Amino acid sequence: MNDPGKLFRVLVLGGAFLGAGCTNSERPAPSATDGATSADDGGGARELCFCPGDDGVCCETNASGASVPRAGIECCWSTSC
Amino acid sequence: MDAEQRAARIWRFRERTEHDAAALFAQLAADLLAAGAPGTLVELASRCAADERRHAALCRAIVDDLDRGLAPLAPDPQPRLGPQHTTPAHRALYASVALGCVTESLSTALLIEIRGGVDRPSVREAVDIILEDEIRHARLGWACLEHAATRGDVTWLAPSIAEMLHAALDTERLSDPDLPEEGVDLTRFGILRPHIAERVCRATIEHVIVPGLARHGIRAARG
Repeated sequence: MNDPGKLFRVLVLGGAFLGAGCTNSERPAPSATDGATSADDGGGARELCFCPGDDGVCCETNASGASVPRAGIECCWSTSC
Repeated sequence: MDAEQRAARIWRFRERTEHDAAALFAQLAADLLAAGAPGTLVELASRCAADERRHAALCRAIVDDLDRGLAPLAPDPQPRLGPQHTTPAHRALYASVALGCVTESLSTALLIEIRGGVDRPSVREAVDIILEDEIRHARLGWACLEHAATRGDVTWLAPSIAEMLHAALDTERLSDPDLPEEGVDLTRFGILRPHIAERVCRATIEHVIVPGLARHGIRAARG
């Protein structure tokens, strides 16, 4: 069962963030992580991401060659890099 | 009819639903443009229409994988949402909420659940692609609602929310005239058992859609 709280943040608040920032001037299209955040264990805010994402914003390759979440990113809904 | 053939028919229904959604998002883009909405929202709606056409092709590939030669269902020639004889701004808001806030939010939640049980490669690949797009489509709905709410009253939508929810849930239930009985498990083909789909939808309505609408004073009547 997915987490409705995360879904609320990612869809409703993420969409609201986009809509509130809209003006009639052009803006770039939203990324996979726009407006969605989650408090991490250390108290900082991490962006929720559907990993691996299609634009490289969520994951990176570490020194060992493994694909891992970028700093400040949390893979949500059981997805992974 | 074996499990693969049954699953193929459900994916065929989804193929038609994706074609219908493509037409509806294209109409939404036109209404947003006519209403003078920000370019970002117009572009996103147009992109959603293209996504839905791609989803239809993905559904077709699954149908062919499961039951090659099964003919497509005829698409709705002119799908429409909500009142037509009103302003483009009202049509756009109605469609944004019905398509994005309701249907695509439910679809996102269902696909997350579906994703966990799929083992067929063709289905898994399609579900991953569609899920990522549906998140963006749902956000478009919530973005349009947010934008409209900063410019005027949106509570006139309240009496229509129950109808939107029923329409979205009916589409899910009608995906197969012979819905999987509890004893027939098509989970590996990307079809949830009815009681699980029902539970996911109820949780999403209660914890995502209703509170999301309530942020703007839209109180959905219990339908």
